[in-house]
Amino acid sequence: MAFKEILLNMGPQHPSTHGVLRLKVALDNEVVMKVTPVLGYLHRGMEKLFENRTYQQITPLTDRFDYLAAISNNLGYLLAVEKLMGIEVPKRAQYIRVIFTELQRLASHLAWVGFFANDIGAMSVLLYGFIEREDILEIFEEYSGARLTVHAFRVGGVPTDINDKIIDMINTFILKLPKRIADIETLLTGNRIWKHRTIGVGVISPEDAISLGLTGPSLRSTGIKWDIRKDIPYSSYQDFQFEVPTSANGDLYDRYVLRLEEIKQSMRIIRQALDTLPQGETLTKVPRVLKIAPGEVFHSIEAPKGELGFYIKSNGTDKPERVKMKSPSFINMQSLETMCLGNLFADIVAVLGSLDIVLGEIDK
Amino acid sequence: MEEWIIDILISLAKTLAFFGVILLWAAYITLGERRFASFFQNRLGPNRAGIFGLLQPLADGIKFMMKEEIIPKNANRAFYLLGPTLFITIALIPWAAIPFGDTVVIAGREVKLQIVDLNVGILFMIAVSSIGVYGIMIGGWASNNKYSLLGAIRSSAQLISYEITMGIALAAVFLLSGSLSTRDIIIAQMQSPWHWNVFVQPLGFIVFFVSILAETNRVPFDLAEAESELIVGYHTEYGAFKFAMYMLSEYINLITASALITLLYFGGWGIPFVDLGRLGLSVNLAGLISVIVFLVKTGFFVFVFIWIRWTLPRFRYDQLMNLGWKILLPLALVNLFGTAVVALLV
Amino acid sequence: MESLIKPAAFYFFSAVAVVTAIMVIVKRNPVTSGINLVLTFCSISAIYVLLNSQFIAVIQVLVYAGAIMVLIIFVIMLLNLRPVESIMDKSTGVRIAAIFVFVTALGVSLAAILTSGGISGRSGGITDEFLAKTGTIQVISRSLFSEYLLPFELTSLLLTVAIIGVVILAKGMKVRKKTGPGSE
Repeated sequence: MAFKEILLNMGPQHPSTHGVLRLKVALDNEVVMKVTPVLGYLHRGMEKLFENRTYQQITPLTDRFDYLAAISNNLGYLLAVEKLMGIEVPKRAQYIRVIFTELQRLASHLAWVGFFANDIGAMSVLLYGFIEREDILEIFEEYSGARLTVHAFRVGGVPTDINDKIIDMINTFILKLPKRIADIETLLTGNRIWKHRTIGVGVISPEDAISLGLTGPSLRSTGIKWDIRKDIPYSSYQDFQFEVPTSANGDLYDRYVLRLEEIKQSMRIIRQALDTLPQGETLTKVPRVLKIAPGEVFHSIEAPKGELGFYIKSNGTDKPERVKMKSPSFINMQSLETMCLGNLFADIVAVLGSLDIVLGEIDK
Repeated sequence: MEEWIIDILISLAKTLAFFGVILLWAAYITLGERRFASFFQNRLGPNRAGIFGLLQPLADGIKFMMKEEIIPKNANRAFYLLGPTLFITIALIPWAAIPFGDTVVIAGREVKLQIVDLNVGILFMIAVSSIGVYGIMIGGWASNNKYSLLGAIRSSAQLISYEITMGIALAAVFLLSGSLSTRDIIIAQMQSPWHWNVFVQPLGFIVFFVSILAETNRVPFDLAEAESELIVGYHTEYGAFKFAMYMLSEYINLITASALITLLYFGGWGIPFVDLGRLGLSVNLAGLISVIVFLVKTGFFVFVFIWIRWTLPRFRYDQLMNLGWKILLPLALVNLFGTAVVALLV
Repeated sequence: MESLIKPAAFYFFSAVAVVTAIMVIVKRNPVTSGINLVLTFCSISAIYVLLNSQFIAVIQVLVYAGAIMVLIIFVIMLLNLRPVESIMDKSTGVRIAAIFVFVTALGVSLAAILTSGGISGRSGGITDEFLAKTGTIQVISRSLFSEYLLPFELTSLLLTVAIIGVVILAKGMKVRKKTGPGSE
């Protein structure tokens, strides 16, 4: 029985396009022939907005990019600004930044496991991931007063020191998490249906991954060991012991296992950072009106979703001339079609979920 | 009063009572499903309307009725309205042959707690449920939406495939009980729990259970309404009361499936190791107990369906077809063949 | 009471069967035609019930309405056929030929019915009482597996051959598609 080729419009109002992404899909008998993403439904002109804000005012705006990992955006932007200014952040502040960025990575990965499982039809896992994420958000709330758009760091360090209560909360959470991860693994990792749906689906070769600029866990799932935390350490990451997990097949299952492994590594980093937290200042003196001499800089960090880079060009005033953002979701979207071709319609949703995209970051 | 008037009155009363029970039950399963789902997911679920949210189905019903009836501009109007109507009608018909319990005595005559005891009872139910596809197909096609059409096509292909497996698994049961009547099949299992078909036919039961899970369009086989891909599949374009009709029929189908499992494989209204006839109860009391036992067993399987739904991921379409044709169908055939050989020798 | 209900039901279902059968031909929308054909099958099945052949009735619904017609409508929906405008040749010659064929067919069937001794046909040994005692399934299976065993087995052989043929055709098409020119 032959289908005629069906042109299907997925989104922008569709339950599993993770927001307002629109995909134009060509199907031949449910086999994907073509996937064309149509972007811009969440475009807010952020990069233009930056040009009319002072350097400090930009930080809270970066929260709105990848709203599931706001702190990572803060860090990426601030590191670029600090590199441009040439200032050194106190060691204690660097450690606190590491703790919170890694907590944010946990939150992002936990939410991802939930969304990904939901895309494949296991609806309860979504809530399991979110319950744990809730604890992290409470830690953020205790620290900065906000849960989602945290604005946790400032130019030159962190605004306040962490107190004993926050350390306690983090410790309790780190103790509790492995059991919850085990719960999720019981539900999914060994599940036959789960394996059927993920193994050998959405495969991308290492060569394709590099030429399409894939970064983050999706890149590492093809066997390429590239993690900026390890390879170009920033914010004292060189002080901590951790592995960069990789796997060989580059399919959905590998991406899932890899992210769970990254969760464990992140917990390791947080534990080390808490144990060896140095004493001292948390904020270098920075002038209130921050004027940066003309120059340009690019700095990138390993955000939960991949490489997050900021290019800043200053012109001697208190506002940047141009800020360009290299957002992981946007770059990773490019490999969507390569991963989907030849797979079935249902796999598009799974592949899209595995890429861990956030529309705030794609449309900017 | 003439005899036939009493007959008709009793039949009418049975019909009304049964359908009332089914509709009410289906409405409350929506509540049960949401409460259990919340339980599995560490949250509370609807608990505001009445104690434990017991008035929630009522509130939902009123909400559905008050909503605006929207018919898409490009839809085929007549078929669009026919779809849900047909679906709910066909979902109710199999209950004509399902026995709720043993017999009771009303007005001096023995009344079977069943609308009709057909000698082709099970076949009748399968035949009717095979027409149920039309409700989905017509609705999905008439909506004039690609997602609905895809959902309808997937659903009908799935139903046709799994009906075959189900039928062959059932044939083994017919072979053992020597009858197609629902009542006879239950009575054949009455001696002891070891005579229940689930123990006599373990392989057949597994095949049947998976097939009927697929027939009811639920996780892991809910491809027809796979939320993450097809939005909600064939009833994407339906709203208000028409949507409620689709929803309600799916829950009625769920109860039908559970009732079928109960009566085919778990001894119907039989209580393990207790012979109701020998306890010296009056016929009516024994009949009442048998109804309760049947409802409890069926309710348990409804719970199992809900449990499965909120635990497992979803199959992909090709994997579903592979499972049906390449694994379950051969298993069902082996089971039928084995049963036939054993029945011939013993 | 009995004597009134049965004929009434018979005429009702016969009327439905005839009307829907005509609709199948008359309606332009292929899906409407298909649904009408399903209704025809269902009313014929109801007539079987009136004749005390529940098994045949159920199988009629199960096989024709529940499986074959589902597949046919399935294909219609897949191809997304539009209502037929005019694929028919409506010239005078064709019309005359159509009327001629219709009248001949009607005449032949009427002649056959009238000469064979009425619509009721011969009555055999299978009466209502006999059916109530043994059950329709038993009667059917007994004659199917003893008297008509050979035709029954031959039919199943034929069906198997048909299934294998379809599988080979479908596979062959796929192979050609893969290797043929213009395909990727």
